Amino acid sequence: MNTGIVKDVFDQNTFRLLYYKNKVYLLPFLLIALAIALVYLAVMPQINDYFSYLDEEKNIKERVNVVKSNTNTLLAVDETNLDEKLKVVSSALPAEKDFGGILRAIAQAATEANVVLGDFSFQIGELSASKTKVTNAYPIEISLSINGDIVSSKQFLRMLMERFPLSEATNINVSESTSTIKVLFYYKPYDSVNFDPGRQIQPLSQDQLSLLNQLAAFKLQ
Amino acid sequence: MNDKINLLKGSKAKRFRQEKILKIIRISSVVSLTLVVLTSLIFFFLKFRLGVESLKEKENAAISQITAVSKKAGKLLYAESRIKDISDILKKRSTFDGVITETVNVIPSNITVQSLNLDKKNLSMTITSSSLLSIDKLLNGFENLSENKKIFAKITLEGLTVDPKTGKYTISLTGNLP
Repeated sequence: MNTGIVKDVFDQNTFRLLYYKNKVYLLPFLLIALAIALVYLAVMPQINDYFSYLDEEKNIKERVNVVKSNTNTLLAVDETNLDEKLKVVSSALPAEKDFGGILRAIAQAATEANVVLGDFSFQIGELSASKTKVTNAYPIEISLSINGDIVSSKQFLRMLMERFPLSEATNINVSESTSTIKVLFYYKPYDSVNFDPGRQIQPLSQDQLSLLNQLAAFKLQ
Repeated sequence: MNDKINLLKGSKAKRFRQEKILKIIRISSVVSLTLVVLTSLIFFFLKFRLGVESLKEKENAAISQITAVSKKAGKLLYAESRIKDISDILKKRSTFDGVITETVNVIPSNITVQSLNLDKKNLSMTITSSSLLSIDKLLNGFENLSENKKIFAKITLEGLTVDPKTGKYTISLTGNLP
């Protein structure tokens, strides 16, 4: 018990002595500690903020430039012309199963190729399973027979392609006077188009325009 | 020797050194605090000068301008997407039509095609003709399609028969597409 009191008095005296001896240093050291604390708590976050603002400023400037450039690009596009182009691509690759259009094209191709149509059947697989690997377009397979030889079949396919440029013969079986042909037609439902004003929009390229011109030259349905 | 025992002189020197250190520490503390405050102020004003808010206003104004033509943008993007799909289909499609055309072109007129089957991998056909010359022309034509035009990877003559009653030759051949 006595030892404890002696120790407390000794400690208090020691601290008091140390305080009086070093009190002149206390304020400057506190100020230095405050400065260090301020560096970590205020200055560093401010510097980080500044650089992130700098980045944001750069990004916003870029976005504004892209939006302005997109506006100019879009203002320069002739809407009537664009509608015509849309009509061409929608006819070449319809958004729906255009059975009417396909049947009409087959009948017209048969007439122009001077062949008589026999039986034909549609074979439409499961939509999800029959998506093509390359394009996500859906194929409709039609098996049809015509009264005609190989030359007539070739002529018939050529006429059919005039109307459906994307139609694709996958099998042809010709006997002396009858041919059975399997043809694929494609369609693709509308995708939702997300327009992001901050993403650069380019006008149609020369390659795209040339493909459009080729398609427009066909007798699209 | 005297210096060593002169306690007063030694304590003065020590105090002088302590005062010097204290002075340095005081100056350092003030300078460091001033520097911190100055840096903080500099970055505050720099950030203030950036004007991100006014840029955001400009961006909003630009976006509201483009909204007026967003319908056109949708049409353009849709057309681009369709053209890409069409282009992809055209790229991956088989050269089937070309094969038919080339095959028909090498069949002489006095040859009758009894049967022909063409799929994505093979062509097999049976023809009849009373003229060996025409059959020779046909075979040469197929050879040309295989060797020069590379339409067929391989042509195989499956059989050649002759009907003595009609004098007609019948040949069967298959061609493997590349």
